[in-house]
Amino acid sequence: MSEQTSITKPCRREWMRHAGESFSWLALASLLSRDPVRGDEATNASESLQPSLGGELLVRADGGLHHRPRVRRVIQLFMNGGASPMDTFDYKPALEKYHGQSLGPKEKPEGFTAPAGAVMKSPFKFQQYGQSGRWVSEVFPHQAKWVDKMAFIMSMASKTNVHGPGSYMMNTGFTLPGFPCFGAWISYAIGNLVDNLPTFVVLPDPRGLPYNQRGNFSSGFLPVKYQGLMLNAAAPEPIPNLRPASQFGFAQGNADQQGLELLQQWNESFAAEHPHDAQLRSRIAAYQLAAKMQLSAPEAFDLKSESATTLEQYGLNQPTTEDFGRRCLLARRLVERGVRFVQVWSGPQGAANNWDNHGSIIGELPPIAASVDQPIAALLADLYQRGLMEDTLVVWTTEFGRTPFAQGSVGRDHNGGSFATWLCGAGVKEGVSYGASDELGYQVAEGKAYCYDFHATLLHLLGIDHKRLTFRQAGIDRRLTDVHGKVIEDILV
Amino acid sequence: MRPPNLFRALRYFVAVLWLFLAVNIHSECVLGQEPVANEISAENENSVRPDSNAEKLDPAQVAFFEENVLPILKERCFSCHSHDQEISGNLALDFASGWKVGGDRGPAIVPGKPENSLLLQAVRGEIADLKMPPEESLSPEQISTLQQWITQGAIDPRTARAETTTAEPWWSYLPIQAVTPPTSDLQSQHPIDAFLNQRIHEAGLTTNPVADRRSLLRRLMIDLHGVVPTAEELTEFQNDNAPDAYERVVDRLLASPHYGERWARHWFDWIHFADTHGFEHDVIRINAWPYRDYVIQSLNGDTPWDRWVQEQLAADVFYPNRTDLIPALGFLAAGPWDHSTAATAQTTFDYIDRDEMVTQVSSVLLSSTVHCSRCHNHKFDPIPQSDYYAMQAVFAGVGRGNVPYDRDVTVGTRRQAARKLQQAAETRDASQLLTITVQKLVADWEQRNQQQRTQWAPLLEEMVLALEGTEIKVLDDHVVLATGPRPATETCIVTGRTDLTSVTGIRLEVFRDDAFPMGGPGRNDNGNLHLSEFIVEHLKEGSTTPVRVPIVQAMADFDQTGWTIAHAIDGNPSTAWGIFPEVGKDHRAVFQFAAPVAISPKDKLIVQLRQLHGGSHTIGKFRLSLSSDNNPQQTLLPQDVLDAIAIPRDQRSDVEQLSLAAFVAKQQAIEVLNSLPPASYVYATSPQFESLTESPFYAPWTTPKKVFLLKRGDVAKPADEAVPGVMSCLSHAPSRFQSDAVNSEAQRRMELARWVTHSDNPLFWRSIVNRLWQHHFGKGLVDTPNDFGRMGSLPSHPELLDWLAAELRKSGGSLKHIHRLIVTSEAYQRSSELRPEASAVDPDNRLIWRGPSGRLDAETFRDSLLHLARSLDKQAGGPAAQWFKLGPGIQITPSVDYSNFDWAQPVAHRRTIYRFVYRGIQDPFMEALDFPDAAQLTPIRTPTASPLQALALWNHDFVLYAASELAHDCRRQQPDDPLGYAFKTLYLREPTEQERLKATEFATQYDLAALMRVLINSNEFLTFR
Repeated sequence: MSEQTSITKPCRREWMRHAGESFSWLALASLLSRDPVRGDEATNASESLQPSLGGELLVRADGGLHHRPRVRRVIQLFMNGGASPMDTFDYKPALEKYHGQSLGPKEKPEGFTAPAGAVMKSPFKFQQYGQSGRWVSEVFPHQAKWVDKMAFIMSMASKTNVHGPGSYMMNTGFTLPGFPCFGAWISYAIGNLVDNLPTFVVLPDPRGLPYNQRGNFSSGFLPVKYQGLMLNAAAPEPIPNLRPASQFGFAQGNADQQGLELLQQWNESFAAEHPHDAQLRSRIAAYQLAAKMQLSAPEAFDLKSESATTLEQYGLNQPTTEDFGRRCLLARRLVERGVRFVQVWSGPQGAANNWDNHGSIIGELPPIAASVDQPIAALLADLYQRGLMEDTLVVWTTEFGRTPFAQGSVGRDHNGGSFATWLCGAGVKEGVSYGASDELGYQVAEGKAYCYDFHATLLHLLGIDHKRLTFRQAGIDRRLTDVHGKVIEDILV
Repeated sequence: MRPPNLFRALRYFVAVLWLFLAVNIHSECVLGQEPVANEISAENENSVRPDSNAEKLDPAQVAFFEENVLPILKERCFSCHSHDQEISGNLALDFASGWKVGGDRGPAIVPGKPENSLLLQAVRGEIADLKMPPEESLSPEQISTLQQWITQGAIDPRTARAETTTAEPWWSYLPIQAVTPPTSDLQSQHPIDAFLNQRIHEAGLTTNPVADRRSLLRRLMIDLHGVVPTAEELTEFQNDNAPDAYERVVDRLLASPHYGERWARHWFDWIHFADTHGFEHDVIRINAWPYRDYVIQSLNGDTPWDRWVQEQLAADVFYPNRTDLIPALGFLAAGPWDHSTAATAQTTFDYIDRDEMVTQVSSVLLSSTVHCSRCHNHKFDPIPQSDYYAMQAVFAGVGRGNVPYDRDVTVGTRRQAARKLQQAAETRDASQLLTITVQKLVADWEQRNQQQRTQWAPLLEEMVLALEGTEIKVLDDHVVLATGPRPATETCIVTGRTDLTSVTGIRLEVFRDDAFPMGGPGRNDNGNLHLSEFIVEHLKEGSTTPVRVPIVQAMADFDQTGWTIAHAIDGNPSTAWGIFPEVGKDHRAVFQFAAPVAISPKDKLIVQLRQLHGGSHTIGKFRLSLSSDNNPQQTLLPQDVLDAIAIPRDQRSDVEQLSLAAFVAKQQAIEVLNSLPPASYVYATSPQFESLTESPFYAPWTTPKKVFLLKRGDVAKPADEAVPGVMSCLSHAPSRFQSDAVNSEAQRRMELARWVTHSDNPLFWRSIVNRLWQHHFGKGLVDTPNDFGRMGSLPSHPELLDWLAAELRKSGGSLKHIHRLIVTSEAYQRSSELRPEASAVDPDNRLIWRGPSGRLDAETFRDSLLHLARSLDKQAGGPAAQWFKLGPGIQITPSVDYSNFDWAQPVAHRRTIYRFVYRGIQDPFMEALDFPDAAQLTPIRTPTASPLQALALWNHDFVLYAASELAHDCRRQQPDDPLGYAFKTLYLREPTEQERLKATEFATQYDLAALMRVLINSNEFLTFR
């Protein structure tokens, strides 16, 4: 990127104006290393970060925005539909005691899809695991083995009982559309680690998009380029437009390669005629990076180099786990190569094949739980084994919990009152738990944490003070955490 | 008194600001484009000032608060309990109102009663789960200071900033000033240049020269039409040596329909218009497009700005006869709609739905952030929470859905009149029914019906069959009785003859009977019946093929809601006639033949009564009769009408007159309504709408809903009921509506529209000229177009802004007049070349020493390629062009597949403005070119350049398709030198020798299309300067 050094000083501002049009992380790298506001000592890139073919490590991006980061990359596993806490990680013996009694709200609360039924005990057996003695139900036998590495937040709450607003909230901090999601905020704040792969990748369930369609990965009012790149993990070319379609014969092979070279030559001469226009430079850089991505991306998505053992561990050899396992493995490959944030979704929108178990907990929860359990455990093992957990964080989330009261006879309704999430990896205390739900698991009893606190904690780990990461929009300095948020120090190292 | 001083002060302020910006690169970040460590500045806290009430407070106590209490709050409480940081437990302590209202647990302080004050209990650690501050307790001295303060009455002079700031005028709320352009030596100088040049010279800068014609035409056409010019268009312009050549091009472009197509897109960005709901259930609004066409047509017709906005807020109220203007109401319905919350959380939904409308109106039309006052008084602008809820109340009577309208005003007028008549009949409104007009209708009707009462002769049944097992008995008087088993469905076939020679209609009588559940006449448990289809056939003597007798209309003495008699002749077996809840009574229906049927005594009539609904909704007892009268329907006249016509006209009582008039009026109305073509629909905001089929739970309501001021914006904490109104910081008209408007939904919107579009509303006129300026120059005179408040930017040229606003008003609201003014200024026509010495002083070009430059936006890029390849379909309007494949979704959102779309099909050649915009599932190609998220108002698109965008431009199917189309066209246009033609088409110039050499080599080795791909991707094409 030596061109940038040729920009004369008076143009620096003009150039900054166009930073929004360029690869700001590249561009800012040189500038901000001299910037006293954002400047802090750059840490050395971890040895575990291996840019793939042709990629360059953006060392400066390592530094965090406000303080030294503990985490440089994140994998978020999102259980779409509202994973039931009291049937997975939040053991509630009281449900057995009160089973069948009508203790729920007499009137249908807003957002419940039906009036609350009687208290319903979990149909699953719970057992304690590990040194930490965490209770886990039989639907998660594999994750149960990792509880000593995890930090649980047992007191999550949402401000809504409706999927759309709930998913928005857990992704963007607001219950309304139009706000940037977590991934977009961190792309905007700290950018990428390497220059040959996207910053923020979303791997939705191939059966369908989650609630809010692509709204959950939107950049909202931030520039569009910060939005999540949604990839179809099952497609032969997961990154769109990486190659020209075969029907366009004139665009193949050498025509493609030499055409790109000719383009860059002409763009160079055009830029020489307008030497002070930084916009032209950033467009040239974009094509250079596109070329790098063309070179690197196929390798990143190619699972052929993975051993049979690895594929088996992730469950690629079983129909139940094959899909989620593949996406977990892809997530590992992507973060390993420097993608900053990968979001893996379990379950599409709708009433089936997800975590929205209105009809029957005993019938609907075990299959979806089984589809993720072994792959998640394999992902954690793999990340530890490769040393990636030095600076990688894995989080398991959902948009809200479910009622301790039955819906119909054996289902559970939406409940923003309480739900559980876990974090695992860099910067996180091992085998701990924060907060608690009430006796029935209906509301939070202690340590209530909203998405604000959750996001504040994640940003903190990434070297960002959530109160200082802002964007002026329609008269307000918007934050991911609105006017709330407290870092949950208790679960941090 | 104020104008000159104000401007001087503003200009000073602005100058200082620029100085600051020029030397401090981080400030730009503060203005919003880069992430920034945005310190919560001391300035914010300092801006808390005592209000006028403070004068009444004891100065000593105020001093005690400020010197002793406030520092404790700031140091120990604000980090969790202030607007600038967080509002934990919903308790804010940075204003007096914060502790007075209190948080989740109620008021934090009871003045004079420390023992009852939660705050003191919390800091003393007296409440188990409320020990504050959580980390480290206050010192005993600090606790005692707080105690003393509370004991003495908790004197706290801090009121919300919103209230304190009203006293100080803010530039955007002040009236538009009458400004004249600065005088200069150049008498002929354009007024805009007079304003700009003065400042440029003051800054010691010189301006760029006027751009060459090639750049100029390209800039102008991109700006006004959203397409680049062709080589032919440039040649024509270059060969025009008349002094007004440029002005004539401007006039031509402004007069073209493509102007509206271009500028409608900006409007849609501002108002987040899309063709689907967004949110969890992203339902298609198949009727969104008439609003899009309305916007384009209004822009092209140059509808005056104030009138245009009046139409969009309340066309139905202002122009009730202009049924063709109803699509304007699509404005308030442009944004997202939450199906799921509407279905399950009604109260929350109502507030967020109205929030949508308030936000759009205040942001787009007034450049104000009223929505910031949803949870608390505005932190920076004089907009109290009550203003926000006053504006919500304006929209408390409208909902969103499909609104019927008539494009043809004459049809619309007739439909309206007929509806009005029908309504008058239904309410027996004497004032409308006993008019001369209606009485004439009655007289005519009586004239036509003076013949004898309809005579009915029973169908002489010869055979009665029941296909599903019902036992049939024929009683005396030709009555058919169903007995025995009750099959779920039944089809009864009656074959019979008559002695009449001509038959005009057939009557079905169904009879009650105690033998049936609820007394029948149906055999369902509730006594109801469902007649799915009623079919009559005529079998001529000697023939073996019965002929269907067409039935033109049917009428029944009673129709169950949604189950009218028309369903029995609609050919659809899943719809039917029913009589619930009028069970236990006899009923009648008459089926009128399309034409009289000539019949002989040996002919047969075969009547089928298909009763297919299920659940034994079958007929228990019936009789069929025939008539040869002209109007067999008359037999269904209600008893009161029969009674009335039995009396000579001059002897009828008023009640009898009214009964008759109501009946005739209703018949007349229905006749007219049936004769009119079906209404069109637009997805819009209106008190009367039809729910989308996906949302049957959402229906219109008759009187405006109650709206309450919500404490902290929480629907669970309603306070006072809101009175409809508007922003109170403007003085041109009252901010709360008068009593008439309070009661009527229509009046509320009308009052709002009048207030917004008032000729003395400074925000309204400034806001739009600023936006027009922005889209011509890349940046507004105020570069925060949706916020003219204290968090927004100051105008770079306040006098120019006011001059333009006044000019717009003076011109009668002509937006085209403002466009013309702007693009004919020298400033607009300047070369955009960057001069380092000028950039050093004014790097952002706020003084406009150079002309605008940029990258083609998504729509311009796409339309230009098609235009240059001569394959742009210039057809205007109509349903949105879908450039994707729709498939069944998991729930009500369909699957949307953008891959492998065939760009050669005609629908793909429409202009991009006619594209279907899927709000939640955006077109990835448009997104790569920075098409914004339509979940959000987008006053400014931020252009980006990313590797993913480069990949899209280089490899996307559409671009490659366009490349081959362009190559094809070049070969066709100039077979001897297609390559030279390619350069002329895309670059508007000949290739240099060097370029020609390389291009020839490349195109020869590969293909001309491969070269086109390079040209399309080049910066010379993709950018304008």
